[in-house]
Amino acid sequence: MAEENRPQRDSELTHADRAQEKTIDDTVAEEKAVLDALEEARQNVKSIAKKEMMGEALTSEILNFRLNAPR
Amino acid sequence: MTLFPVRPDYPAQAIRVTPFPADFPSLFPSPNGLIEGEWPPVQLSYLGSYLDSLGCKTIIIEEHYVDRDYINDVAAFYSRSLRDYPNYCRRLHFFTASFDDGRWRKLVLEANQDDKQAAEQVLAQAYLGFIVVRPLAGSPVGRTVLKTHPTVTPEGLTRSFGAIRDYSVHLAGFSLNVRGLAFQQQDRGVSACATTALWSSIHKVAPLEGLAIPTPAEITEAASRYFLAGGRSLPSEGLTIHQICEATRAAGLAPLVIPSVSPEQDRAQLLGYTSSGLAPILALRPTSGAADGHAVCCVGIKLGNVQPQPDDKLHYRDAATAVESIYVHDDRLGPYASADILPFTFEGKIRTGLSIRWPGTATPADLSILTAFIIPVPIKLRLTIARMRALGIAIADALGHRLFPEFDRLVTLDCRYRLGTDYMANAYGFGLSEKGIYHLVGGVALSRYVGLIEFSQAGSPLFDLIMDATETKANPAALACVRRKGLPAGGEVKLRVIAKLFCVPWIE
Repeated sequence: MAEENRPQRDSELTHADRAQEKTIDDTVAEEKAVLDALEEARQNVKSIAKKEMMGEALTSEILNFRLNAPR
Repeated sequence: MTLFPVRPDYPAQAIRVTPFPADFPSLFPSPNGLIEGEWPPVQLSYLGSYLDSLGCKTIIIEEHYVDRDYINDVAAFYSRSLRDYPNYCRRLHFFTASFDDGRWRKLVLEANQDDKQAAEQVLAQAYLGFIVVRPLAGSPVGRTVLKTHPTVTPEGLTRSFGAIRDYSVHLAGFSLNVRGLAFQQQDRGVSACATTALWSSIHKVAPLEGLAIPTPAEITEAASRYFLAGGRSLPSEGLTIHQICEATRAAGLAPLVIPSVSPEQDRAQLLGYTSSGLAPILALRPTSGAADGHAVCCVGIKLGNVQPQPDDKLHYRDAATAVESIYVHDDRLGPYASADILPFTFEGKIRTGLSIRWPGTATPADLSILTAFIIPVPIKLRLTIARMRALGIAIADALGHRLFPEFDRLVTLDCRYRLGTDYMANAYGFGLSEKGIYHLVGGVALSRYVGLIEFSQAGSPLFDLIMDATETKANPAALACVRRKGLPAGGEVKLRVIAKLFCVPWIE
């Protein structure tokens, strides 16, 4: 196998390569932390979010409510 | 001998100046015969009290004024009466400056001597607005546009009148301007409370879309075109919410009907829509449980401080908790009437009560239960405040807990709409980088109206999540995340993840 195509062994990784891998791992971990925090919050406020949507339940009683107060 | 004049006479014009009287209703003669109800009507006493609170000193009376709404009412209804109702009105203009006929004459003559701008300025600075006085003895208060209460209360609270606009007024060749929202008393011929409330609400939103403002007669006819709840459309017997929706559609707008949920959610609706420049109509049910209700138009809100989060499990604050009371056009009372929002137990449930107050006192004029909101909105505005809040609450809770622990229970959520063009224009003051502002104004397509979910801390905005208001569901509708000045250094690392989750650019 040509020298340039031989896969690198872990022992041969440079300091810069290791630093870059660590940064990529950190980024992935940070992203996961943010997504986990959002999901936790989403579960936490589920009942409140549901209550916000209660204002979309229109009934015929409301639509037929006449507004006719005398002056 | 001739039986009839060769041609009808033209009406005479006269402009008179009079001091603002301590007893304002005394300007209006009482009708002949037995009067149904009380005289003077409450609306005249309220207007007198309100104008006095604004410091009114002088009235200029235009004896002949053709009012578009009234002349339309005449054509639709009054012209078919036996009585010879005139087709014109009087118009009263109110000023904080004291002057008499002599001073008025001098202003006109000074304007004639190439000094018109100076004379106009004298009037413009003191102008409080106008009332069109209809020749209807029982309901004289026609289209009325008056200046609002001051924006700061004596206690230091903020009054925000999101639903007002500019009105150009021409008097004797002078151009004046008043910022407010039109109000009028129902006449029970062409209009009832629902018509006048809808008319006021449309006065704000129709000009935003370049639409004509329908007159009360046109509203009542459109409402009754396909469906009549009672026996006849004119004289008006009131409108159902269904009919209000029909009239809204006929005006070229979309009706958004939102049932009342709870005092907390209803405060959020009021804040969201009013601060977006819309004027929600409030359908009120009397506490007596009577079948028919009343309609008022919300014009503004009084804001205190955002309250701390009372629930231990939640980690954010709601900007709507700052809403202390609202200001409504109540045609049974007057414009900008103060109304307190309070929890009210009705039929075993906690409902939203509305206590409308006489100006300057704590005495309630009326206590009702809020049943629903009806909001005429531009047809392109589809995403509701409720859906934005449902999304924003989750993000705010995450921000105030795990994402920024230093802001625990301090992050405040606020949702409203903005014109996309206005948001772009304001973005130049956000302190964005060169790359950021260039990307925002040149690389992000905004809908005509955007939903703005703002996250802030101690009054300083952290970031905005911009939503496409032409979408119906909040989640797929994000357009951009925009950094604001209050975001601490390094905070963008976490918010880039949120932007990536929504597949939108992070602008900083």
